[in-house]
Amino acid sequence: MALTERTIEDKIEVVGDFKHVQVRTATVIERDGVEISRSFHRHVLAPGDDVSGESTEVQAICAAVHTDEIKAAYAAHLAAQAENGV
Amino acid sequence: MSYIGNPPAEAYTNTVKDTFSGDGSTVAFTLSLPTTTNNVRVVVENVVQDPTVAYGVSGTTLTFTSAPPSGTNNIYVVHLGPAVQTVQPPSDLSGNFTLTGDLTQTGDYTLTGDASISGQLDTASILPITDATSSLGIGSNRYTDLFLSGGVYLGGTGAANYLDDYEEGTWTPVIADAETGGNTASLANANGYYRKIGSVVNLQVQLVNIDTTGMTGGNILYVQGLPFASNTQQAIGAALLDKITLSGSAVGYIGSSKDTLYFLENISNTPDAAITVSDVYSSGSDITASFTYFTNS
Repeated sequence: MALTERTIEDKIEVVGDFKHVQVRTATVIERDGVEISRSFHRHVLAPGDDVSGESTEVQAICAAVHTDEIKAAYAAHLAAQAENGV
Repeated sequence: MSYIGNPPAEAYTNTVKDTFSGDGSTVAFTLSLPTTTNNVRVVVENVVQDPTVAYGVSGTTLTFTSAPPSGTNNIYVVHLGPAVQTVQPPSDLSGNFTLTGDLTQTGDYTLTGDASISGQLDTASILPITDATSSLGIGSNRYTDLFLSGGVYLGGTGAANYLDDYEEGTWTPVIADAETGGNTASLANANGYYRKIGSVVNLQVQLVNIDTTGMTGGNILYVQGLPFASNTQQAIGAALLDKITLSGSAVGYIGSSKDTLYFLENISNTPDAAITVSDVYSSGSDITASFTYFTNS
């Protein structure tokens, strides 16, 4: 009987007007190659976030969707909210 | 009474007799069933005819080598083991029934007893015969787990009734002095949990022993790393802030289209004020918070 653990990015979503990239990392436990457990960990990448620590796939997606136009729009969105006091 | 020989057959086929009237000239007669020459007994004027010599059969055509004499019903043909064109199973099928091939049912099928299927059911859809009258399982006979690759409509059939996602997991909260990047705090423990039901995210966060050394005191204290970005709706959450300077009651806040949260003080007759890094004791402060917010996914 062999127990193995592996992590995979099993879902990458691009959502919203500002193209937030939602990354789901699954930790899969297998016994003799048969999955017996799967748990999830998530994080989000906003336009302008540092993606250097991400996988090449996520970096590629961020590079594709986080255009300069999107980054500028998101920065303006954050600034507008800050001006509104929240 | 005992008997010698094979037991009688229990097949449900009928022996068929065809009767014809000769006219002295007709040699071909049409049988009610297709058969072959040796599978019928042909009698003319009560004399048994010799197969292949006196007659032949092809399909449903009986052809005599010479025309039978005139007479009313003076020709009869008994089908010996007639070919059965359509087999109707008995209406009451009791005992075990084993079907090794495919079963195609085009009409309705009524099953009043139990059915046991150990294989897979290959079907595009299983529909109740009438709308909104049948339950899947009952209180005393429930299914265990339900596995769906799609969603479920609850209480209606519109898009607003469609529940397409459930997920639970963890996220890593990071305390920082900026909405993105910035200087970060060290923590003894940082736990984040989520449960997502449809587009609603319930978020739990626990931050223990926040050490803000190296952070900019006047900046807002952000928690980065939300598991889902919020949609355009803002959300607030309950927060317990321990060893943090407050002028009023505190609530958590998630802005629209954000993957961060921070905390606001509700002060009477004063605009809301964000909790800043300098409001946190240099060490030993804790934050426990709970949020419910909407996401686009």
